[in-house]
Amino acid sequence: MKRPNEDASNKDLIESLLDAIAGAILILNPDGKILVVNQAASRMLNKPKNELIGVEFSFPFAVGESDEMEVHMPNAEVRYVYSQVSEHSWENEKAYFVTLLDITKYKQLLKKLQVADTVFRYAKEGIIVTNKEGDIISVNDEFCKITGYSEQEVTGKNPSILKSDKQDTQFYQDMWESIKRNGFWVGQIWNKNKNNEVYPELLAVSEVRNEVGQVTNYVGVFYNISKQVEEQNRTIHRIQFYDELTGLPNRVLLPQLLDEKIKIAVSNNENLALVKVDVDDYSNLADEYGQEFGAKLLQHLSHVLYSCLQINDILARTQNDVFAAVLTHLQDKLAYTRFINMVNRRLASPISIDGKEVKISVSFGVTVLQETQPQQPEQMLKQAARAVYQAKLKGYNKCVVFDPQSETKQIEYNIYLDKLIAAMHHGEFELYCQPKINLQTNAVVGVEALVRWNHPGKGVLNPGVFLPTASSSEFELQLDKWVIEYCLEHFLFLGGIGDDLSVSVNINVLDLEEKSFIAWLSKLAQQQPNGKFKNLEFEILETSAITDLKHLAYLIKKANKLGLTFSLDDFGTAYSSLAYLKNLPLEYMKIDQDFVRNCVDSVKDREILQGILALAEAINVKVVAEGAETDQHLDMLREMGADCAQGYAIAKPMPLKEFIKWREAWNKKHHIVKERDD
Amino acid sequence: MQKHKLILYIMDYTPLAVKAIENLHELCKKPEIEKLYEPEVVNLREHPNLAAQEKIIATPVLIKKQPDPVRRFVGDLSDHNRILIGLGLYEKAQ
Repeated sequence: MKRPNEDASNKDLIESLLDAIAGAILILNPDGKILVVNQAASRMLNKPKNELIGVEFSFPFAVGESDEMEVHMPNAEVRYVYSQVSEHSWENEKAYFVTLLDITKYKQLLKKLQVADTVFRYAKEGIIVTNKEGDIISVNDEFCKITGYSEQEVTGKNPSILKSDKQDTQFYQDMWESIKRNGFWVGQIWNKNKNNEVYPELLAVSEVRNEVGQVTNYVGVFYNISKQVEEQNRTIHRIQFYDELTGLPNRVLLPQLLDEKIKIAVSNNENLALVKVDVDDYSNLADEYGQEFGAKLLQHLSHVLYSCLQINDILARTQNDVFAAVLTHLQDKLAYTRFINMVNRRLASPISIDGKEVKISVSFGVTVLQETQPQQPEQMLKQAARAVYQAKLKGYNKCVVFDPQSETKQIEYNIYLDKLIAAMHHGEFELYCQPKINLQTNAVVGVEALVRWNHPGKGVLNPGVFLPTASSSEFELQLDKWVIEYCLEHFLFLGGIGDDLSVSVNINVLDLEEKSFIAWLSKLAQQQPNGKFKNLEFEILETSAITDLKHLAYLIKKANKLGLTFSLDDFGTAYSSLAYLKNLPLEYMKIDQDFVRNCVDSVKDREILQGILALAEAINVKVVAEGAETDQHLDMLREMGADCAQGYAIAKPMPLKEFIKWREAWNKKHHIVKERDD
Repeated sequence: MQKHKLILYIMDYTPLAVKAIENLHELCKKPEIEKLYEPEVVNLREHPNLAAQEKIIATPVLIKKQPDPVRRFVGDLSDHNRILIGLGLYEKAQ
């Protein structure tokens, strides 16, 4: 028989044992009242034992069944508790043992998984998960939608089933190298769906690693970018082929469109014309009213030009202020005039833009499709461009129609220029010297370097024969540079013409205005021994081309700093101007040989010559008189007080070797011992 | 006859609480319950003192005070039989 305190000590022992158990346990009576609560349960329910004992917890659950509940912590955290009931006895009475399990972490994980699963299922991106071997273990709905495959069809297969032939092996090798190196790869790829349709996708592949860093899976997330690529292609096409400002075809598209129209015109035996329309004085208008105004003006003009077209005609904007109209189905070769007249009439009234009224005009360059030998689009575009250039040269609002014969001439001209360039490269040019003397002392003061072409078939040619055709061309600039370099190399050194003499070369005013010319001279000067440049003189030709005296004076001053001096050639001819003498920093002026030649017989020429000499003296510019062909000329010039003279009476132009001998003889003849007299 | 109250105490409308509310309404559609009881839901978040007052240890918990004896049912109330037993109505339902 048990003693009463034996039961009590057994109960204490069991309660102590319950406390020692890590699991949370409650013992309830059949009404659900808490009889016993162990330490773990007290901690889990966040209440001391004494506050729990005697409290009604819950009507006992069915044995073996489980339930879930929330226990609220003071910090507003929720602890999720899972409970399970078993029936026992406590103190000889029926009782229920409730074991509690904290499932908070499990619930949180579940929640995360649910979120992840929702993302996976309903993502707008296709998602593909593979094992580490690369076999598909899961795909989402969007994947199925994009590829057309069901999950069952692809599970266990390699994603290479989606591979298109648009990427080579190297591409995939690079992709996997990046994944191995960086853990991910992002890029655009072309894949193939179940119907073998190829589509572009933006794909990101990442590797998934376990807690010890081993790769367990690969996840690919992709987005079908067909629409974006289409849009991008449309945009590229638009930018590439259409003008942004007016929406018209641009210079890239025009040749294609023109080509189509030419083919139609040829096969239907129809007339076609290409008209280039160039806005007169556009840059000044834009400068005056601003670029925005200029842009609106061009938009307005595009509407005007478009309104003057007929069905099937084309309008394009080929340059900033240049449009091109392809006129088709013309009744005859002159029917382009309808378009030109309409444009002119529509532009006759001022245009109002942003409250400002402007009057604009345009120049036209026209070329007509030839029946006998139809042109290529590029050829027609060049012809129209040349025509509109000619129209611009003629002034505002002019129309020039391309003349096919002028093209032949242009071709011949180009061939001739090529021949000149080849001759220069083949060393067929040579410089001759023509001496200049001081009229008072007869001493040689310098030479003029004059170019000669030792033509293989025609002998020695003067520039007067071969150069006029190439005057002011790019070739002339090359030739002038060659002359300067030749002088520095062959004339201006000891044993050359003599370091006491100056060498003058002819130079086109356009050379000086050439942007890089002064820089080229400067570089050349640096390469020369001291003083060599000081003996070089430039005789400025083509003064008719002078447009900006102030700028030219600035350029000459820059060249002066390098040691170069300047003279004005052919003074007294048609384009000479007193303003040149007044404004340019010149050392000499050369009087045109016609005055000298005629001064013996013509009183008038003699008086003009006298006037020029007086003028030169007044502005402190020395004078070289050209064309002194006889001793009579020399005497007269000497009498008039000219400083220097040059001409056949002294010597003809000659090669360097001859000049050296000639000078010795000249000095001897005139008893000159002093080397330089200035 | 005035109906007794079956009060469901919840702490916010958590998924478990929502499940318990649904089950309570389902339960109260049973004729034997509907005759005697009417359900009420009390959100303890809005009545913070009630938790201590009612000595509520965990939620959701359904409490029946009247008629005696007081009964509590913790959990999502999906086991209707347990509640019927607890309310002394199981045999009647059977």
